[in-house]
Amino acid sequence: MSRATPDSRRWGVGIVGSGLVTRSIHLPVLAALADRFEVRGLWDVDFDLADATARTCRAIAAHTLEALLEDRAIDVVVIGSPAQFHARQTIAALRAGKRLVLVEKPLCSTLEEAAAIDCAVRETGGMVVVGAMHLFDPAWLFMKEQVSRQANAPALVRSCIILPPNSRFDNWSNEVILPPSTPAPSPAPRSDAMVIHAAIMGLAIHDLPLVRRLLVDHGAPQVLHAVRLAPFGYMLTVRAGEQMVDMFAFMHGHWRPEWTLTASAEDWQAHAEFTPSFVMAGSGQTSFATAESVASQPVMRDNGYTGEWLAIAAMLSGDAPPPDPDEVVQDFIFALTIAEQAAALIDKGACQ
Amino acid sequence: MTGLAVEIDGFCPLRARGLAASLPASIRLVEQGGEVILMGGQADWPERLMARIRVGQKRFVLSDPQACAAGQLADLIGEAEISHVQIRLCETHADNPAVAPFRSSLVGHFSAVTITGQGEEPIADMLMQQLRLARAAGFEPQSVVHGAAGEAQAIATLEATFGEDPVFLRLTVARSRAGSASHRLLAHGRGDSAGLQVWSDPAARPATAFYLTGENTTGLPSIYESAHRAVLRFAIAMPVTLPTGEALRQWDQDATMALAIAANS
Repeated sequence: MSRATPDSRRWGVGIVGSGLVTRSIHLPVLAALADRFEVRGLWDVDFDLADATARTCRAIAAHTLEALLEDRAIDVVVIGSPAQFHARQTIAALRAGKRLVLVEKPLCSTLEEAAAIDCAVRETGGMVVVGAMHLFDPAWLFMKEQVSRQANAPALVRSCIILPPNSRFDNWSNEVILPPSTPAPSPAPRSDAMVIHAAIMGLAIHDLPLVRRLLVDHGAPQVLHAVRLAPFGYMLTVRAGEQMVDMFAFMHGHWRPEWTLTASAEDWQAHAEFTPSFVMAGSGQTSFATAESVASQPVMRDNGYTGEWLAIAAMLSGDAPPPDPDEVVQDFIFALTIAEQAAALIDKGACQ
Repeated sequence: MTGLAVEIDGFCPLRARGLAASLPASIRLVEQGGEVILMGGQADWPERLMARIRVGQKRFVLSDPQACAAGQLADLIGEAEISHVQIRLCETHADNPAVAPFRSSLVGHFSAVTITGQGEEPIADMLMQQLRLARAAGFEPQSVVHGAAGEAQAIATLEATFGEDPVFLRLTVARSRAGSASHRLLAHGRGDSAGLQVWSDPAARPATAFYLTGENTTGLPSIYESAHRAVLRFAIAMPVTLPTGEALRQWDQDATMALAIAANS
């Protein structure tokens, strides 16, 4: 039975962080779902940015995270801060009684943090959804449905992420509302191992939950080989039982993106193509081929970001089951395992 | 009768007839006494080729030789060189008529080249197709950095060179009956990118190719001609692109790498 939302059937949303993801993704999507959600508060360490952002959506900027979480009109909290703050802020939101926390990927930074989040979910009865938008993209949902009907698992899974710099998409997805108060600091020098770890937890993480769902034995992935590509990218060879995963990413300086996920079995092949992040270009598209025929799903109007919020609305209203906390944690462990193994291989002198 | 007399050995007769019929002024199939022997590349191809050389035949077109012959060619190469035999390899992917213009279009610098492919052939043969395609496109395989393979899949990373530049070559193959068997090459550079997809069936289905730099993409023209028809046309003149011994040694080097990768299960 559906539960009515508390205020004119709209769920109140509070957002932690006023960066590109908030402005380019969540605010436009929530504005388009204004019959279900209302952004009521924002908090950012930069109060001026939070205030300027809040005014664009008629929300209130909070001076502290605690103040945001104390607002009883907020049912859902989005954690859009850097990953090192995810666990503490997610747990704080759950302990403040929020019904659901949408935390941007990755879930957190360590296994201990993941366990703490899991504990908080079970103790509070709150829900945690990780913003892995491709899990909610119609392209993946079609692919998952087709694959689930097959008798055999794919022998090979390939994740390919080829992207221009993110800055290419900024002006196509949002506008700068406040000049940066201080110039961004130069990035601290990082070892190659740290770079590949960050690339996996920042870029590969988009599709690792999908990859995991295509593997039969996903409990102990083994990174056999890792290469860091310049200027930014990786090539990973991963084995999971009898299955193998080819993970490739390359960020270049020109315009052409190619973001795909392919699963190949002896008698079938599924192939999804996704849009770059940030832009609202509709869903991905998928083909599913056998030796005799090809079924395909074209681009749909709603992308994974919208799908994510529609799923949240369904979870809040009781029309969909809550996310399984075990799955949430297992997705994180799977990604962290691959990142740590790849970093260790690079440390040991694998290719750069 | 006019045209070059072509005799077949281990090559599908019906396919040979179709090819010859599409080149009626240039080629005629004969039962024996051919000026050029069109040989199929089944596993026993070195023995059949050696036997032909020993009876004095001099000109061969060798179609898609299987990789399992790797490491067994020393005697054959020696005999071919002593006898001044011409052997022109004809490989469905590497000799696709789109490959040469694609290679000519590549002028940038690349960090990595990926080739992904699928088909029903043995893993080693599909890896070989990818290595040969890479070489034909200008990316010369040097050594295997890492390879992993199973019954139905393989992933390998190699060191290669593009001109003077070092480049990573990534090969990925899956055995699958689904969809269309093909190999797709993508060259990845900071400011340039290029792609080439070559089909595995013997039809004259055109490869698709593009080259991208800055804000523009150039699509290369469609060529509706199969590798075998194109090679047979050249076989009439039999121009020396690479001396026979060198071509076979290069093939052997690539096949040895393919077998080594496929053995990493």
